[in-house]
Amino acid sequence: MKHILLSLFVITQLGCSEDKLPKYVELNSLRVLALVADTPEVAPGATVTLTPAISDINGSGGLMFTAEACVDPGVYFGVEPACTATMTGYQSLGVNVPLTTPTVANNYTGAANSFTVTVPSSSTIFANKSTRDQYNGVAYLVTYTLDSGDGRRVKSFRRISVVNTALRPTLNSNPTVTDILSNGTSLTTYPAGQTVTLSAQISSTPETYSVMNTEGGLKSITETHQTTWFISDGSLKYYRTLSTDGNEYAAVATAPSTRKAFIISVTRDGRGGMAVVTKAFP
Amino acid sequence: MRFFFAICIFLFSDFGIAQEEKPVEVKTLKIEGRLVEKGTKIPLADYQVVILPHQFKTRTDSKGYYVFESVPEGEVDFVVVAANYEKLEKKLFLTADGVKAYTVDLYLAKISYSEFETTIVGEKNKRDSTVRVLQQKEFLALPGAGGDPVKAVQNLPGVSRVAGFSSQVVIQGSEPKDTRYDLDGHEIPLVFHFGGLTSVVMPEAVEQVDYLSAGYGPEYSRALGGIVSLKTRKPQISDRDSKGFAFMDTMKMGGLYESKIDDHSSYLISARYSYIGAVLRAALKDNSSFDLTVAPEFADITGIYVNQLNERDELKIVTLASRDTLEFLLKEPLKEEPGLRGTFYNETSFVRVVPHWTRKWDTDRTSRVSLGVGTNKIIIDIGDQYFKNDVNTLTLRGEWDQKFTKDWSSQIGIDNQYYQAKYNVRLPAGRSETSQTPFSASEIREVEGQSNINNIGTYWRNEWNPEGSKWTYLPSLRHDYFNLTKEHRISPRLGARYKWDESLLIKGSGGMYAQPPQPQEVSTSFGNPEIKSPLAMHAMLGFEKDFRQGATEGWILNGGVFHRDFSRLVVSSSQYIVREGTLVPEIYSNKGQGRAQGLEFLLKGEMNPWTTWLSYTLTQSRRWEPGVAEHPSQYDQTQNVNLVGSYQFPKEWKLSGRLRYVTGNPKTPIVGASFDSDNDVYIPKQGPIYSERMRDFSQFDLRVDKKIIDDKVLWSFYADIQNILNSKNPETIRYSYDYSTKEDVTGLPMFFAIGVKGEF
Repeated sequence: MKHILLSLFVITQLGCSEDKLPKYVELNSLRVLALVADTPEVAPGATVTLTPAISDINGSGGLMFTAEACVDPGVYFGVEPACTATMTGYQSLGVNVPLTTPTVANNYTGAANSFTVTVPSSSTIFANKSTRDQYNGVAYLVTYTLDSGDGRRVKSFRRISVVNTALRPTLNSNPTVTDILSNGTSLTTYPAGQTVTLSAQISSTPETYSVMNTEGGLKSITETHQTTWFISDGSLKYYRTLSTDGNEYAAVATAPSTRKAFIISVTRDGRGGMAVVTKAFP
Repeated sequence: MRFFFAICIFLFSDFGIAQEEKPVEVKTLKIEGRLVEKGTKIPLADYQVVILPHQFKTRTDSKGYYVFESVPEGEVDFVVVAANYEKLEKKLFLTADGVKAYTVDLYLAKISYSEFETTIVGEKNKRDSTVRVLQQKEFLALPGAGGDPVKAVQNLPGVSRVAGFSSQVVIQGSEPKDTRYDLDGHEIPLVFHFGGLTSVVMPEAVEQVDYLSAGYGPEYSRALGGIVSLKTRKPQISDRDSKGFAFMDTMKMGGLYESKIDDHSSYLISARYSYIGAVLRAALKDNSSFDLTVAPEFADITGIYVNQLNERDELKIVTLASRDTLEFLLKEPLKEEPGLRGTFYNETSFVRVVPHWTRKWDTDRTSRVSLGVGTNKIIIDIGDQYFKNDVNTLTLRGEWDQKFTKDWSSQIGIDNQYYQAKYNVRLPAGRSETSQTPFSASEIREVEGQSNINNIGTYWRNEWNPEGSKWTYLPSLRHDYFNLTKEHRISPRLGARYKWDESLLIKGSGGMYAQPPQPQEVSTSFGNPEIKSPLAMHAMLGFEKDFRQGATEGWILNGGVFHRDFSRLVVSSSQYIVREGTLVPEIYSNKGQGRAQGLEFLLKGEMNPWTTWLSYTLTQSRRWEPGVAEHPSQYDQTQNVNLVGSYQFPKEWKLSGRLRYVTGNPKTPIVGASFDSDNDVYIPKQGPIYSERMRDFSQFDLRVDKKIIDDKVLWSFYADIQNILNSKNPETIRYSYDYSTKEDVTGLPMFFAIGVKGEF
């Protein structure tokens, strides 16, 4: 393990490469940016609404989604994140369903059509699961595949944490992010030609929760909010920031005229909770 | 005029009369001094010193001292002529004014101070047929290894090259974790500072490195691949009562001092400290997302004490302490690992005190006992993930060596390890070293506790050389108990040698080997407590041919073929299993199997001023498990060639070079990816495992050595240029965030290192 960590550091920091790879923050291809569940943690049998945040800024429409769900087959341990009909708790949530949002007017970037999933009952999802798993949450996997009309495809997934509320009654909720600030004030116009400091306006406080370790002991942990930034134009100093930390953004001199310019923040709490703020200019 | 001549005659006549009547007193002086080798100050005993023009002669005593009791004042010329030394001529004007004796030390320069001089490489101190030995003179001078004893092992046949910046030794198609490193027979937790910079022992304190591969003997175990054993030397006080050196190079500085205590005891102490952090700090000062708060630094101390207690007993105490530290702040999470952010702190340290007691009971019986007492400490903090491990260690080795008859000798020994470990871990569970899944998309588990690891080993080795026979048989047996897996393993091993003639030896060996699993593999939290020890069967057939016919120069060729079968290998598992009524991830299983086979040879030539070394290995290493088709192993390197050569120029200049060619390592292609919305990373989908290869590796290293011989100090300068052709060897692949595009990450470009050493 030590060698993995050291190698990771050395290779990423000292290795020689030209780094001409696409940048994570730049919106220029078909992407799923987040799969937001209205309730990231639920009790068995609950119904959850999922709203994807997507982007296909240079696309031409015709987007469709396919969604499936199943009890996590072990993604953490190397199993491919995919659901098949033979898997426990399998559900098909839609096959090649055309998207009506986001529209061409928004350059196919923003919140996509929502869909719902009802997680299995405790007899299914908690079958043979340890007390620790039921306390910390058993993952119910939702896969979301996005196809474009021109043959491009992206796959994504998220977990809905199903908790035995008799063991842990307090469930996680999404962070509340109300705005993207530019130099401390709401970002309302594209800051063409300027360098500004962006930050997420997070109105909720990080939650404190407990996890059960393999020996059965409980440990209290406080969430850390981490925001990922996406832009269609300009450049960012960081592509992820913590809490409400600022991020230097250098806007292009002139906002694009043939499409909108986007700045998007996705704030995560580290245990499935997330919130998306999209700014489109003009 | 006539009067003038008369006066002159009178005066001279008077002078002449006075000389005859009262002779002038010729003053003489005592001259004493010491004859030593220039630079090294080694006393030269029983050498003749001549003073001209008087042709006085004397010989130096056992400590190099000489004395001339009565030398007339005036100009004298000291002359010393000796084989292997340059002729010494030293003029001196002796005057007796107020001086009764002169002290004149003479420094005799060697014709050559070459490191390779008369070295019979690889043939010393061999008990095991499979062992290859690198003597200190060899590894100090090998280009590309920077004088490092363990890095030099990478030039030997059968050793795979590890990608990236690691210097781990991977033996004959096995894996890095299958190699065991020890110091004088006692396992040490790491052999390299920072995974590969330089080994943890001062090279000049190491007498030799033993490299044991397929079919190694029963004295060792717990390693499916082989053993790299560092043997420390005794203080060298036979020539001088004390001596030492200090050195400085591009990334570290240090020194060594050794001295006689009394007629039967002596000590050696050495220390090194690195300042590579200062270099790194300068290189990274403009990186806005990376703050090097504690520059990487390492230090190590080696101490050796030897006491010849009496004619039969010898006590040797070896002490080794090593510490690596590094701390930096990641202001922004890594691109591929959003979960890794904040402060990164790494500290690795260990201490060992290893007393050895050897008693020669008589000419046929010897006993050896040694203990390894110490501690290991590892701390890795990465943001909210950590690994903290404190270990108290006690290792015990003992051997009774007896020659029962003229043709049969036998050794019975123990090789035990007791570890008491305290750990506190919060890390992703179930990750293999080859996993490409980001840390951030792994299940984090934490556990705190204490465990005891006991590995008990006993062995019985026999060497039977029937009188008059060219055969020597080496039947032996090893028993191991691993408390982690509660297993007893009995491992028979057999070797044989056939001495064809004085220059050719045919040898073969084989046996069974077991290796306890890694502690995390049997952990209830991070692994599978039902894991058993992986097994291997080795077989090798080889030869050693010495073409020198008794001369000190010429060629030596050795080589052979090897075969290994691996079973019960620990592999990652993504299955869920029911354990004690609960569905749990299996994480690891013993379903891995494998095979490695190949041929190798090492050709060494020494023809002053040339020295040549060519090693070649042809390997095929395969692995398979249920549900996974047979595939190359991670370190399946079909061809591995190392060509090393050096040329000794006059005036103590030496040029040496190393050319390496290695088949590219296997790699697993990425054929797609899924976005993990919870963790903000993409999970790659792997194609057929190890179905592709990296580009082949080639590199040329060059080294220039220059010695300057001062009377009392021997200065050595070197410049080591690695990758002088600036080959862009791909070491790994960097993917775009969604794995849709990729680029090679190449190793270090041309790298220049310089150093200086002053021996006093």
